[in-house]
Amino acid sequence: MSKLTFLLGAAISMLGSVFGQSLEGEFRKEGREVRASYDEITKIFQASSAVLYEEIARGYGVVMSAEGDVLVKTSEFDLLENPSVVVAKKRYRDYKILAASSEWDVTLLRITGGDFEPITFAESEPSHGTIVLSNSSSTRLRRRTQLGVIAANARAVGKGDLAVLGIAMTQVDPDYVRVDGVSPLGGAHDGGILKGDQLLAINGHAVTTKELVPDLLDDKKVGDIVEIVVSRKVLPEEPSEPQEVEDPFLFVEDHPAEVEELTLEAELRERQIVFPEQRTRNDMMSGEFSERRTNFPRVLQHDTSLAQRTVGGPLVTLDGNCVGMNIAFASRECSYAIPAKELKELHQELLSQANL
Amino acid sequence: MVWGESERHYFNDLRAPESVEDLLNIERALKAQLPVTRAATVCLELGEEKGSGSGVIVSANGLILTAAHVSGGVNRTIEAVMEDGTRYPVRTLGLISDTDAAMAQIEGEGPFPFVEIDRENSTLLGDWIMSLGHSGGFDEERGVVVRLGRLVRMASRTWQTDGDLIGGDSGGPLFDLHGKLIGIHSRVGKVKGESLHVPMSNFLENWDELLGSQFVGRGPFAQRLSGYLGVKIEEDEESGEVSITEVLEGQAAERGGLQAGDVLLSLGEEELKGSEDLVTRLKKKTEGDTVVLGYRRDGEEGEVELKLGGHE
Repeated sequence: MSKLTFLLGAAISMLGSVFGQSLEGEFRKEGREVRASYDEITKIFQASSAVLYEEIARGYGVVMSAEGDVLVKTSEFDLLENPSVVVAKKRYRDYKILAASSEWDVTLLRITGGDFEPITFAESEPSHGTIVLSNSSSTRLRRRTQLGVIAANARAVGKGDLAVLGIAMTQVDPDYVRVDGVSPLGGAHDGGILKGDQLLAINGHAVTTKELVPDLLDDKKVGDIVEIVVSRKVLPEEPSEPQEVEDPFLFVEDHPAEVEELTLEAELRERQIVFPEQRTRNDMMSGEFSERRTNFPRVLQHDTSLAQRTVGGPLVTLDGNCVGMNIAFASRECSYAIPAKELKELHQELLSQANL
Repeated sequence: MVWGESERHYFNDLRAPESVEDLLNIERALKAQLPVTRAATVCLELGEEKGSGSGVIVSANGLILTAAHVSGGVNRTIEAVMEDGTRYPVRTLGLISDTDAAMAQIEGEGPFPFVEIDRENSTLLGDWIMSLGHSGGFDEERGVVVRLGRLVRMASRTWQTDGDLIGGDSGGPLFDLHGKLIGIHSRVGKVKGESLHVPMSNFLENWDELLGSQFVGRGPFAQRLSGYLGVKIEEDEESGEVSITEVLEGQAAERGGLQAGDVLLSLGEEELKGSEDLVTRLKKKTEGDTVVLGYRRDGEEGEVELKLGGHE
């Protein structure tokens, strides 16, 4: 334990500051002189990234179509009361929320009353080490961008199975799965499931192992209602008179421990809401990270230095093509983007959800 | 464009890149070095609840450079995880406790993938660099994480870059864009974009001490532990002789060849006066100290020189 503490101490403090020669700020990775070298690509962000504006820039979006389709990050967008959307130099107050995906944490907006220049997508996925650009802080009139690289392999992050009941389970015996904990924020709790219940069936399928439960919920979405059958021990009512029984075993045979079978309904809710994340030491080193930063089916990881308020915009390579949409500032050195391929599919899916 | 092996990249001599083409050349150089540098970057797991750091292999037989606050001490056993998930036991060698430099050795059959050290100290302020490491611990699907930056401050024993690091990166490698190892990650500042590294010169100046498993300096990156032999002993009630009842695996006594049943006669110049005397005198020693033990086995007397481990 002492070593962990020291690791922590050493990792977050400036032990022995560095004297000696120093590179001026404007020449550093995020400095003005370095930014000037890719000014022509920043123009793409000016035209095809959207800014969610509420007094200041609070988030970004990707302009997907000439009709004014813009994808934004749901969990940050939902925090805003009455944002306007800025594209190029124009502010739009007139937009509709068409559809949303809880799986990807993305909302589709449609802005009206302007000419829009959609982002151009790359044909292939960027490999490890490819230089990428993201939105940085911006004013209402001007976008700024910052530079980094694709930092790791593209992959799924988090535990998946986004829609959860909000229970912890124990395999007591083969065929006997017991509820060992109920999150007060989950649908199971509100549906009346109690700690100690034996899970018998979910939507008509027998529950024999706890590993089976995620499989049974696999095709379900947040908001779906599932039917759960549980077996629950009935607490004996306080006997008014001690019963006199000659043969004590006779009593046991006549009165087995009473259980009742209950059929309950529970709503599936988002894992992030039901099981709030614990902050780790690395989180404390990272400041304000994104509201939701895990459980994405697939992401590109990069090191452009996002902040909670700079997610949502496009991730662009040096040829000016979009390779993804920034979806989370996960930690100090780690940002996630939805890959272009999945983003284009998602756009189509959300359009059909909105019957467009 | 092709550059010679020792030639400097032209973009390092620009105060800032002047065009997208310059950035593309930085990208090409970085990508060219990634396969080799990734393969040589290991995750170092310190044991249950002790967390993990990173390290880098610098020879085909598995010599590792890392940070002192990761290796934690001399002659300890930790575990290295390669990018593909292969695991090897690792013995920690020497460390420089006041700069955060350390060395360790994979105990396994090579050859291992390794990187070259920049022995010429050819890096200059403003050079573009890449930081690798197993950020936040080993993750096979994610792989080794790379970050881009510039060398923004240089002092004799500490360098600063503006690539971002996090817990788990400690001990990982800092490379120039020729793929030469120029530093080891040590710690970060409170704001983003402040990462501190131990330059290779500090390792090269102390190479013999590191290789010789010495504990150099007085911290703050590692604390000396009291000396640990790694045996269970009993004292004969009549003669007062101390004999070994069990030799613990992987500890100093085992490495020195001591066996259960050996009677310990002396420590250094002086004879042993019972088990309490042995314990008291060992406590005055620290890990990494070399001691000479006299013993008797099957009626024959012998001497063994061994390097003490540490005990928490």
